[in-house]
Amino acid sequence: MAASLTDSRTERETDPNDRPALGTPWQTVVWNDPVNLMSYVVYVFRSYFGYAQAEAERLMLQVHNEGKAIVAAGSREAMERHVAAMHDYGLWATLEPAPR
Amino acid sequence: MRVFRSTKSGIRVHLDPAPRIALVRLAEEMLELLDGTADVETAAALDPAVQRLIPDAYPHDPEASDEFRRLTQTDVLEAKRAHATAIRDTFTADADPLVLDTATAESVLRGFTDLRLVLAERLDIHEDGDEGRSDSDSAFAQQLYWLLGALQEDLVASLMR
Repeated sequence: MAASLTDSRTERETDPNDRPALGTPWQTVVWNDPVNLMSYVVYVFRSYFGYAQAEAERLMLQVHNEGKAIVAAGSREAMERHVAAMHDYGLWATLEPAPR
Repeated sequence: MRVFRSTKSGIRVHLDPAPRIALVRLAEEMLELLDGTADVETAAALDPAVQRLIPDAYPHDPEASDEFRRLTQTDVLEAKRAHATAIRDTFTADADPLVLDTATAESVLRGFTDLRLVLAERLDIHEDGDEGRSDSDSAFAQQLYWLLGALQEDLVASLMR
């Protein structure tokens, strides 16, 4: 999945708006949905992002209680990869520019 | 429900024939649904159930979402085909005992999610607390939805052990 994303993204990479000039301008957001089980969401955060159990649970509860959580931040390309991976897991994920 | 057990040789599966058959049929329906999505490029043209499988990546930017979909949907839907296939093959196998390696078990787990997402759309489950349609036509879908939830809970526990 990552490879085909990277290959087709070279053009966009040259757009200065997409380049992280300072800090980390994009973030991956996971949204609450009525389908995914809490245990499964914790499992995804642990196995994909490598979060420790406690952090994975904290993020899952944030999704559940507040409706969403920021689970990663970084370049637009990296966040698009995470979003596609979350879609593979069946989680409702989006990306957005991080507030400056 | 204890269907999946973590053992030294892998995840051991114990499930009765009736739910197995139901899962195989459901996985086959999923493969048919995915077959119908091959060349669809805009969200509006997608079956709402498929939209749930590949949601908009940019909630406020339909153009960027469609571009993202063009770039990623082939791979994501291909992965979902693999998950549905893993479910079909797992529950048609008549091996006894049936033991899954971790990669297959993880694929089955993701496939359960995909099936639940599609069933939730058919059952009008859109928000926390929604129990879904209760008309007689939806009874079987309802049963499957809750069965898949229980199976998924059990499989996650086995994988995290």
